[in-house]
Amino acid sequence: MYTLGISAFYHDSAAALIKNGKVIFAAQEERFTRIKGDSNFPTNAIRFLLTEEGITLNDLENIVYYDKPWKKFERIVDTILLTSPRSFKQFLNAMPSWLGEKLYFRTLLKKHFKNIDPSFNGKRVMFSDHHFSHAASCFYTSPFEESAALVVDGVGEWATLSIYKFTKNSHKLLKQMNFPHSIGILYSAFTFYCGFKINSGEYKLMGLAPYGRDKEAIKIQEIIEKNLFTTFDDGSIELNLENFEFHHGLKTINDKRWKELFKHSVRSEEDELTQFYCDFAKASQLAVEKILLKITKHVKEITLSENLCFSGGVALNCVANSKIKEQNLFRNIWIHPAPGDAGGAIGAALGFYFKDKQYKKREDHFNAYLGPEYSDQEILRSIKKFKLKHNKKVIVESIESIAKDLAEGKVLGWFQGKMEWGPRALGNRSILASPLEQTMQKKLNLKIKFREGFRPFAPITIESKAHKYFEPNYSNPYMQFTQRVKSYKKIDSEEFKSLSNIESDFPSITHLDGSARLQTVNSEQNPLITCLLEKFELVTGYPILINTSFNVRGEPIVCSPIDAIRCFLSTEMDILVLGNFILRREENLDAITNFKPEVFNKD
Amino acid sequence: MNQAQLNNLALKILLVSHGYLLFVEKQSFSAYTIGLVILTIIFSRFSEKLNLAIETQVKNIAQFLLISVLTIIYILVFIPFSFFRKKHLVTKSNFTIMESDQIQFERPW
Ligand SMILES: [Fe+2]
Repeated sequence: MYTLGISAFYHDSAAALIKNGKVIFAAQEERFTRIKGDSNFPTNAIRFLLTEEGITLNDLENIVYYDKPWKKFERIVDTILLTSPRSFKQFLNAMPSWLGEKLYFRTLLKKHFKNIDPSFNGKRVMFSDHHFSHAASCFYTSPFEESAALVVDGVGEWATLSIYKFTKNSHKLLKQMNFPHSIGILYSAFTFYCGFKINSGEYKLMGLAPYGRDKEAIKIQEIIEKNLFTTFDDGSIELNLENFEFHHGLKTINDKRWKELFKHSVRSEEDELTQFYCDFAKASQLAVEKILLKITKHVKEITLSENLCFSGGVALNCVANSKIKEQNLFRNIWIHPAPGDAGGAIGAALGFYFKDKQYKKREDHFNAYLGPEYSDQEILRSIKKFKLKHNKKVIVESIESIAKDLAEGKVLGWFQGKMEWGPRALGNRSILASPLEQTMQKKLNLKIKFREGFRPFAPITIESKAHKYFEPNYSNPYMQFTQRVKSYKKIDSEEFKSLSNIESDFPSITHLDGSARLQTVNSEQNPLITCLLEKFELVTGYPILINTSFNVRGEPIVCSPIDAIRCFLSTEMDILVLGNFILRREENLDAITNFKPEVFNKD
Repeated sequence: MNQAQLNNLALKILLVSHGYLLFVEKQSFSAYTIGLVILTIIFSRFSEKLNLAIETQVKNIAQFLLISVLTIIYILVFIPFSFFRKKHLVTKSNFTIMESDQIQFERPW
């Protein structure tokens, strides 16, 4: 029994295929179209999962869309009414697309399905609820048979925060906070104020926070809490809407009022990142963490559950997630690898499937490798297309020499098996390097990633050995929490606020505050990269590598061998490992010199 | 070669051949054909621009009409109704108690 889940038209469109209650394929549209955060209907993602499973649209039992479009329209109309006449611009901006297409949603979806398969018989599409899709994506992939579920995002239809209680054969929505009062939008407003893009720059704000000074950040936090919102005892908030414009205009914040409050204007992307914005980033991170800690306390009080499923875009804030975990209110916390809107595709399908069935956790309850995989022939075809010199050997036999290359400071493009689901590279579409070199962070940024220099890279290590180097000790297979680097030494001087001065055994993966965004792996989850880490340990004494997503700045993570080769040719990557094929930079210098790279908009 | 280039080539062949007939063979009738060909060439170039101009104007007019209709709706419907739409007061909590355990999957609302 197949169920197709779709999320589309806002940001991060995606499709997922469920077979008898288990996710078998899922992918985001951006990986195929190479447009970051692509919001178009996921035509390519759907084509991929149908082809992979060898079925057609007519073989699907059910098709489920991840939210309720009419409810969303109602919210837009109601907000326009409430804020009239200031909402005139928003009204003019929103209405044409709604009246033109979005209101006739079934027809719109049918048109897209016919485009994929003209013989599509027009199956009736089902509609989930936005926050239910988030919660279901989390619970029905979790190792729990009973759990509290918390959803926090920008906005769904009306809800901006929901608290559910799930059991193996039921779910109950207990409480909700509604638009315009939103923690997600508040964090996006902070992101915008610091000069980063909304919906993609939030993780940069989080990465900037450790550069903030404690005293100054606390002062800013006080201004934020006094002027931008009120928090109630249960953690719910009420935004002071005079300082915002997202609910009636086309801008997020009232620039003038924020300038009066913080004595600094909105930073634009090109402006220098001054100390003030670092202090502000820290203050905003602290403010949001404080709210989330109150909310999770309330969730515990009303659900009395030992387990928590946390989803929604805000659950991508791994620093806040760690604070929630360290609060020890819940024995277990599960965060799906794609807690944002893309994950809604999986949640819509699973939520529908389990509406009249019992959920039983399985041993293999979930794995995040759900995307396209390429055969040796397909890889070879791509290599030949670019006329590149290569060596072919069964990858397991080459692992020792690859580990030696890494130990020598070489940077490696690592392309293996199925593409990861979710925004993070989890060891199948990764750029790998040694974390032991002091200069590796700079080298990777200048030669390959071209991203801002203030963020360290993420480490990957073997689950059973993580406790030797990181604390607290717990498995972190999807990089949803930050852990502390044990060898980090705190330098108590404001002068040394730079990554190049970090004292740690692994300087390029340690943030200023000693934290690292770790991924733990085991041989069941990803045998190949676990083996590589073991060999790297034999050579260097440490089973840790830098693991950063396989892409350049502004580009979605690579999907196909061709995307990987393009990235190899347009950067100064030393080695590219494509399945069983190894390509070396020094053997392909002519192709590299003659290659014209694609230009991506900076994110 | 696309259709426009093919047409252009045909017109040029006509021009050269009738030029030969007019000036070498002194066939006066070819003067009419040459005149006609020149007019066609000028008009084909001009008509392309004309089409584009008409299309842009129609688009602008349609957009203007849409904005006008929406503005009228906003003034006549949204502004008056906004007086009846009251903001709810938040005191001790901004959570709404829901207590619901069903999702109506069949409905887009
Ligand atoms: Fe969402």
